[in-house]
Amino acid sequence: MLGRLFALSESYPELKANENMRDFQEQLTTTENKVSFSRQAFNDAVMSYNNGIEMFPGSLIAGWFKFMPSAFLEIESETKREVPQVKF
Amino acid sequence: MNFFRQQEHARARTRWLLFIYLLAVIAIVIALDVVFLLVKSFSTSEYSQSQAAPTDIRSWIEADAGSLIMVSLGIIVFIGLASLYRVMTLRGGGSKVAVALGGTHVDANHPDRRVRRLVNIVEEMAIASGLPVPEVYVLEQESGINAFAAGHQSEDAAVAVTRGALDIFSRDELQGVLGHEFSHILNGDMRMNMRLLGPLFGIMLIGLMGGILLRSSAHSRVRSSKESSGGMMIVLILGLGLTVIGYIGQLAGRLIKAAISRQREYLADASAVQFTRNRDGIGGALKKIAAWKHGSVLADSGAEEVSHMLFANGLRQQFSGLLATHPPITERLQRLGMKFDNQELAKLAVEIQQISGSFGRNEAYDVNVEEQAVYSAVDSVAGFASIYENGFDDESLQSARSVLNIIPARIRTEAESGQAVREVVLALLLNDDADIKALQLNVIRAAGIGIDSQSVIDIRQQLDGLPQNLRLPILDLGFPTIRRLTWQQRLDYYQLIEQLIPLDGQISSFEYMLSRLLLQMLEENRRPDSSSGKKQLKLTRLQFHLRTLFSVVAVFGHDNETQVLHAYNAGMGSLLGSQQWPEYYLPADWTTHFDAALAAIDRARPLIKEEIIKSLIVTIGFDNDYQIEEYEMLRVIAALLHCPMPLIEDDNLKS
Repeated sequence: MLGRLFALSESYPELKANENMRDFQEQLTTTENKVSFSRQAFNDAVMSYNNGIEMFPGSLIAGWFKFMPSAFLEIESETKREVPQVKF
Repeated sequence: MNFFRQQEHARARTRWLLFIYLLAVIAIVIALDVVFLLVKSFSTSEYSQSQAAPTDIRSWIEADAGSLIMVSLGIIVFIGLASLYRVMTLRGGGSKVAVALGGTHVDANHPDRRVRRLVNIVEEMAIASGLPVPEVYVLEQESGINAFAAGHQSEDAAVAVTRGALDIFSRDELQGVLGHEFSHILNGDMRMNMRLLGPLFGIMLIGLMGGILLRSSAHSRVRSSKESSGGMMIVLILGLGLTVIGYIGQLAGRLIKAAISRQREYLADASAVQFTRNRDGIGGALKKIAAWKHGSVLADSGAEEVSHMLFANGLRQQFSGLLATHPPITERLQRLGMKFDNQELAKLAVEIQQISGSFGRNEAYDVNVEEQAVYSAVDSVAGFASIYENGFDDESLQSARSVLNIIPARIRTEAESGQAVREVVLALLLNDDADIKALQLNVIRAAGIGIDSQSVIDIRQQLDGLPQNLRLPILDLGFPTIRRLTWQQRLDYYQLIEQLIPLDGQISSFEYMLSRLLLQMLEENRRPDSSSGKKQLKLTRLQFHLRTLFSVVAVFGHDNETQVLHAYNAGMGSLLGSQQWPEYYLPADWTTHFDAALAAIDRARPLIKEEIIKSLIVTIGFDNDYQIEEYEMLRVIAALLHCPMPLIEDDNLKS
């Protein structure tokens, strides 16, 4: 969606220069970033946890207390992966 | 390139260096023990010749085991106390550090688009690193490219970015830089640095003590050469030993500390890539720093304290090689798996020159100052809704806007540009009387703080044709710009204005208001949270302060004695109702009493403050004659009480 929006604004110079438009683009960018960074932070945490319970010395404690590997957050369905559409 | 492996590598190196550091501190303690043993053996051989000297080192140590432990413990306690002292001096959250370096607190409602973007990026990086969102500061007067994070733990952290970095970095680059800073917070680098500084400080004190001992022994040798040379020898050896160990130890400690700090930079760079998943962002930022003519140097003298938390080297004097807190930029780029050559550097330099040329500091900011003035007026309308009982509507917004539109474009740009704002405010202060005006201009010239007196005169001429009720809106426009001056500039400016005001032998409401608003701005910048933790006072405890407040306001708007009395009683009556209130009384030095009264009333609860301002309106309106001075007075009182009043366009106002 971002790509489409930016392409749209490229072809209308006044639109690109408009303060509100720029604000809006910034809001879109930051919102998409926040969503993807949340997913990324979660997966990074899962990875470091999974590594931790497999490597010494963490593996000992993990063995005694039966720590299970955690699952990554993966979005399988195509429709969910898609970013929401914004129409003009 | 694998950034996770890079991080692991940097962490392992840090652990290893920390171990060496610990060994070095232990070695220093042992060396000091040896010195004490030497001294002790000297003194025992002096005073008891009969006792056989210890034959080998082992029995020597065994004989003195008790005192040895005592000495070691003493040194460790000494170093511990020194560390504690160091921690105490650096106490206070990250925001204090940022303010001390001249930072302005910013949030998502800032008028500058770049600043809003910065706030967004900070939030993104907070999410990516799993930390709470820190306070965001901008160092407006720094044109070097740099950024830092400060704070002992993630809860009291603050990040600050220089104006240079805001203007020159792209979004991705800024993201990389902030990712780097978040790594410093996440990995507790400030805490670690402080723990390293403590022992260093203790060792330095030991060296200083040795120096003092040496000097005192030199003195005593000159004065009394006949005294027993043994005691002097002891002092001499002790002094020499302490000095040598102190200085060598300090140097060794510094070297290892710098090495640790450099490892943390690599760690932070690798973490920035982890958080952003984009090595071009932080890589591009590093290249731009290498190419930019101001580099990453911070002008503020406090830069040393945060030198290890900065994004790139911020100190003017460059410690090369082993003492540097940051590795060379080429080395950092190499570890990120990026290369760059001199040709690329030259090309970047030209590009940055263009960027910084087209978005000069002021220009990038000014577009929005006017907008901010409108919004601040709107904010006040909203905050003041209960007084005017008409809520926040388009009409009040329109009114604020129309007031702003009357101001000539020339004056507006002057007030909004960082260059001439001081001149504009001074022009408002110039007296109508030619003699006094000349006197004022002399004082302005004599102050020598870079204010152009000719442009003050020019601006004044333009202002002369304008209605008087525009003075406040012009100030509203100018104040955000004044806020951007450095602390010292603002202080100089305030002192100049304090000199100018009494020159005509009286203090008008406008002059008083201006000086108080400036003072408030200075104070709040120094202690941003000063208004919060205070005890909140009740109305009954305030009656004598209220007497001062209402008396002054009554006198300002009414001509004869009886009217003043009636206006005073009307206001107090509407506020206190059936309760008793003190008689009207206006002290001769009303400004001091008035300051005290405002300070006290400011501590009342917000609802009470609103009641007070409503009653002030009753006092002012007693004669059904609203004057512009009264309105200005009321607005300054409201602003000083932290419940700002809106701009109103009112035809009833008389000037």
